[in-house]
Amino acid sequence: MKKFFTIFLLYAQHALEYKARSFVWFFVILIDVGVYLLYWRGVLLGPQAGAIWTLPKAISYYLLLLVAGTFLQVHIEEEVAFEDIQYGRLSQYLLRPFSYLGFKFFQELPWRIMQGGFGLITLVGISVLTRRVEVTFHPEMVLPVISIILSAFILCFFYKMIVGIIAFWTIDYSGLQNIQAIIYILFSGILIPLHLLPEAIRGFALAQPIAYTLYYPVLAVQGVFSQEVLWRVLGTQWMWIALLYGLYRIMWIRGLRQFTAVGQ
Amino acid sequence: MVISVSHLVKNYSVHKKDPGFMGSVRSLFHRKYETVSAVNDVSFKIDEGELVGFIGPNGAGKTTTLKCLSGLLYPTLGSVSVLGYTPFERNHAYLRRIALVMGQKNQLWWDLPAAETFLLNKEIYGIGDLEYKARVSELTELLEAEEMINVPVRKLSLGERMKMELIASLIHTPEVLFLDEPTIGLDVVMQKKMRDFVAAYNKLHHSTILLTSHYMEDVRQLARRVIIIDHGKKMYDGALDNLVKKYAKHKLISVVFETYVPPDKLSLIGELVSYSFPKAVIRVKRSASNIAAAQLLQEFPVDDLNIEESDIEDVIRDVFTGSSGKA
Amino acid sequence: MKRYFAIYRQLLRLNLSTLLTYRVNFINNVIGSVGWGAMSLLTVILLTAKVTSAYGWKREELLLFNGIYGIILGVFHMFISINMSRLWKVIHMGDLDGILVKPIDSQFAVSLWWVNFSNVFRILMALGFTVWMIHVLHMSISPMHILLFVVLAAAALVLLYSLWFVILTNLIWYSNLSNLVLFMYSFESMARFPKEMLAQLSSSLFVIVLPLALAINTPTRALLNQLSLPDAGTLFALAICFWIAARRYWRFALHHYTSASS
Repeated sequence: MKKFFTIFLLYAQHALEYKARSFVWFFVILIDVGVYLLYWRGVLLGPQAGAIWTLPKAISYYLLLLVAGTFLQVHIEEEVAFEDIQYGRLSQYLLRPFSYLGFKFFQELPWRIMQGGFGLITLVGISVLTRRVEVTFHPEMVLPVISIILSAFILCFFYKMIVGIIAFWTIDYSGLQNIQAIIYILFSGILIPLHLLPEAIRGFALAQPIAYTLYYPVLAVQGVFSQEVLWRVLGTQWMWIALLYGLYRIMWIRGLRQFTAVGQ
Repeated sequence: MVISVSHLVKNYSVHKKDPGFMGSVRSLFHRKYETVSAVNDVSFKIDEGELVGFIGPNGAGKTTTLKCLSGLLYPTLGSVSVLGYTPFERNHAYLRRIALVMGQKNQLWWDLPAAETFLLNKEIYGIGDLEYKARVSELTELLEAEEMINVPVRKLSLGERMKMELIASLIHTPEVLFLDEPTIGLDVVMQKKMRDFVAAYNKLHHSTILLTSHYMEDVRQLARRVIIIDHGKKMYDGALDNLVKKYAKHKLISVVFETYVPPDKLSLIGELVSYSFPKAVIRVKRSASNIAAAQLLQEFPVDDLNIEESDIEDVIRDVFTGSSGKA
Repeated sequence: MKRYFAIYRQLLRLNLSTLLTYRVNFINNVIGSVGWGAMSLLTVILLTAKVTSAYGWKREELLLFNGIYGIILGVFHMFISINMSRLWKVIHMGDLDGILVKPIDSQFAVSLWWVNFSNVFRILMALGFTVWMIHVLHMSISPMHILLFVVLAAAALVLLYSLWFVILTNLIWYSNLSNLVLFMYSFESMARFPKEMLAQLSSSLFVIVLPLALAINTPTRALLNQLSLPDAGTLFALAICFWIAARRYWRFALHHYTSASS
């Protein structure tokens, strides 16, 4: 465990050194979320409000999404696909006596903490200044909500690792990278809350694993779920974590055979 | 005078961080900056047609100086004039008359034959069709590269790619050529071909060439004059032969003995560099070389004796490590 | 000027030759540009799924607005943004050296060196969508409307390019900020929404996004025969100001270029 803590500290230094990059990433999500909030503000202040959504709920949703997006949205897949697999740096990890998965996990963590910090400061600032963030708080929900948040990070991490190691089988990963980015924006709830999607895709959107990385954690923090539903969400997250971990292991073993036999 | 550099200074501001995580946290609140002097008061002049070797250890300031001369960098202090122009003004008329070739950089379009990049450079430099054909023909012949110009660059070897880089850079017949380690990474055969080309080009076009290299053979074969730079300061500027006389502290005496002499007796004369009977090589102080030679002839059965200068690489290494002092 | 046309013609040839060499790359790029183009349209379709109008625009007009956004941005991404996304590497790896020693305007070279032909499909998709929305809205478009639209779209492109360039010139000092390009994609995506929506921002913030508020808004209004002369005037003025600022700032920044270690 000590070596993973060392890796964490090393990349924490890296994150501190390149804090400007983290700030830019934060601004990217801030703009995306801000624009959608701006759109809904105008719509929900109009005559069509209430029937769709309420403004306080929309503000809470997007501000919490800002924090969730900065803290929970893992970005490891590009480095795994381009740097490690396609440019061959994976060999360095394979020669070392520790888990590649563990290394990547503790490498990503400091970046999430730093960017999540920016998001949290923004959320607290806006909450204090505008008092428009609606969160229903019950003490007995704290444990399941925190568990959902932490599980969301782990789930997103496994999902992105799977997306990254698909590069074992592709010559050019960039097309896939674009498709997965679009799918993630659509099905994580960044663009629009999943319960507002058209009926034709709503059912699928609410059941698929990406929804459990951002959408459900945001709703959990908002306090819209009962305790029973919270535990069910947590259970579903861990079901997806187990499935994705299993898929990752299978793909990793097969991909490694491909990598070491053929190289890149 | 084609190149005139007067009291050139180029400083960089570099951020210094204490090691460890706490060092990173401290750096968040208080950043420490250090001024690094890459070039520190360097002056020299180069005449038309000269081929000058510009040597120094890694980080000496050679490339920074070349970049100031080619207009890439703005000097912190001092003045630079090349062909009567101030390089950092990047006057297009000036840029048409110079070329900068960097051994580790690539300007060719990777996926296409080099000939395509030549055509692009033809438009950039405003070269007419007839002149372009003549230039390509001349350069490919000099470099023995006729077969390569239509092969995609990514399929060429390093040496072949370097040839194409040179052609692309010289297609406009520059009067001043800055070559930054042009033979780096090349095998010995290709290094010689490159050297032969540079010498032939210099002779043919009477172009002024400033060459940096870590390979002493490049400097030995091409440059009659060298400028040595270390830690941003000019250490020496003059003929290569005079460099040895000025900085070599020792001379080498090569001796061939008629009968066997024990090595410990030779160690009394000087430092025994090598001894494989009948031949021995002894290093002695420069000022005492005649006395040592006389002593060897008197005391030992010498068949043949030769006094030689120290190897140029050893001399330059001594200059770089500051262990020279003048002889 | 003639020389630069000849250089650009050669650059187009080289880009086309590269495209034909790597067809798999081209297909991937097409997937990317068409995907993002479709996503842009899908965004507005989903956001307006439950409303008939927003900010004084009918839903169909908003969709038309985004079709035009797709055309203008498609052209921008084809010729400009591919160069902008490589700018950080050109600066960070010292490849700018090779450009600066050539007798060519360095801003021209870094801005127009590469062409992303895959965006032709994005433009065609957006054009088709726009034509369909014009049909749905029963609009009649005269040659004058089209001419006005083209002129204003050209001004919008100059403005967008200059805005990008001014911001990305900061890479000369902060070459490790490769994600600044992603920030610009995000910032620019605000232009998908009408000016009236962005006007909700406080005046200090609105001033910052004013170029984006006008870039798509003004040409679209021209096509809808609702052109506002003050808006058109402001668009042209901003395009000229930002163009001058981009050129001056780039020249200033080159004084501070430190190249990269060999």
